[in-house]
Amino acid sequence: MEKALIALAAALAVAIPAMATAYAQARIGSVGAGTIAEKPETSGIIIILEALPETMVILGFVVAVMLILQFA
Amino acid sequence: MFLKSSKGFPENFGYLNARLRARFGDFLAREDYRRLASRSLEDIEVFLLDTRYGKSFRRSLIEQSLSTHRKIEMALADTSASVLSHTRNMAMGEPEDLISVILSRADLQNGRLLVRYFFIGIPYEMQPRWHAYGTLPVRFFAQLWKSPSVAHGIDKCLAFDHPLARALARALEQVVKGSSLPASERALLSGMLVCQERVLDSHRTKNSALVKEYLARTIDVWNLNIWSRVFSGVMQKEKAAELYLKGGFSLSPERLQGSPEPAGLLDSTPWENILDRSKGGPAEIAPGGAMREFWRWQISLRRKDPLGIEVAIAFIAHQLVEWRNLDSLVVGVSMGFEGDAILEKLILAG
Repeated sequence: MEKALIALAAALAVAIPAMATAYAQARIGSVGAGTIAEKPETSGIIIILEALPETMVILGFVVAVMLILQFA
Repeated sequence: MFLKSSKGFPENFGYLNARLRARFGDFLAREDYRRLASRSLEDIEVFLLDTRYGKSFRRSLIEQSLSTHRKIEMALADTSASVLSHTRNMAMGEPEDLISVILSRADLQNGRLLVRYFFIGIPYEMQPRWHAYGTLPVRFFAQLWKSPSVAHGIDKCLAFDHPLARALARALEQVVKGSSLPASERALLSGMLVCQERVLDSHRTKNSALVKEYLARTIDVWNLNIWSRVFSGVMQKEKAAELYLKGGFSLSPERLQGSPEPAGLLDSTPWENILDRSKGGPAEIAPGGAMREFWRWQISLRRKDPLGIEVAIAFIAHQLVEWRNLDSLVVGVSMGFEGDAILEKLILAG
């Protein structure tokens, strides 16, 4: 039972940031596409901005790994 | 939350607004107008060749044997229509519907031209310069212009089978019945507003609420124009009461009928800025003041919400105001007016 709860916590630690990242990237992506269409010289900055929300999932993944390693 | 957001096309608002915001830099600045107002028509011609109006202007130089003034007018109208149509083409879903509602002011303008044409009843070969960014195609209006009688025009409108065309048919029916010109135009405006509100009812969002406010302010402008005719003694109060439209933003028909003075009517409303108090006497409504204030309100929405319809409203208003400003500038310069006198007539935003 305890292992199942740990697994669930680890899954949520990845899933919730992943959904938030998807939401943020959808918004940033559409605005970025519009910006690049008008000003192609901004493409470097837009790629960086698009990648920033990924950090949320990476942090979630690290938390999930820590949960599994420490308690499982 | 995600499903609700998808229905409202927020991603398209993001894309569209990013593109529009990048294009705000293309509009002429206050300094450009100031410089051009003191130059000659040829200087304006050279200046326009280097702007986004240059492409249309070059085309008109090759194709048409018209005066410089007329060629500039054509270039302004063509470029503005293409910019505004492109704005709608970039949108999809809710933004597209809302922009179509805003741009249907072109159908209203074209419809008014036709109502006035049939009201006067004198056949005239030369077609006016149609506003080519509305929902109804320009060829529809061009065909109507060629109609031998109002009855033919009404038949063509009904055959076209579009709600806006039916609204125009109802306005032309008023002309046939012998109603006054304002009454016919009122029928056109109210018919078109009903169609537009039906479009807005399919999107119950904060953005559609703002476009509803836009329509309500349009009603206010109409009502203010009728009221100012009463105030200046051109129209009787009883006649005006029949012409007022309900559903205005801040001016109800009751308030309009019960206010004999501009100050009493407009104080504490969004329109109070149009009161001309400069002469020290009783406040008066500046000529064209309501429309100018309406433009200013639209342009002021630019930074209200970067992911809402506000950006598109401000962009469209900016484009139409620039068209109007350059038109006034060209007329003023070709008539030899002083630079300051021309600048007074312009709406300088920002």
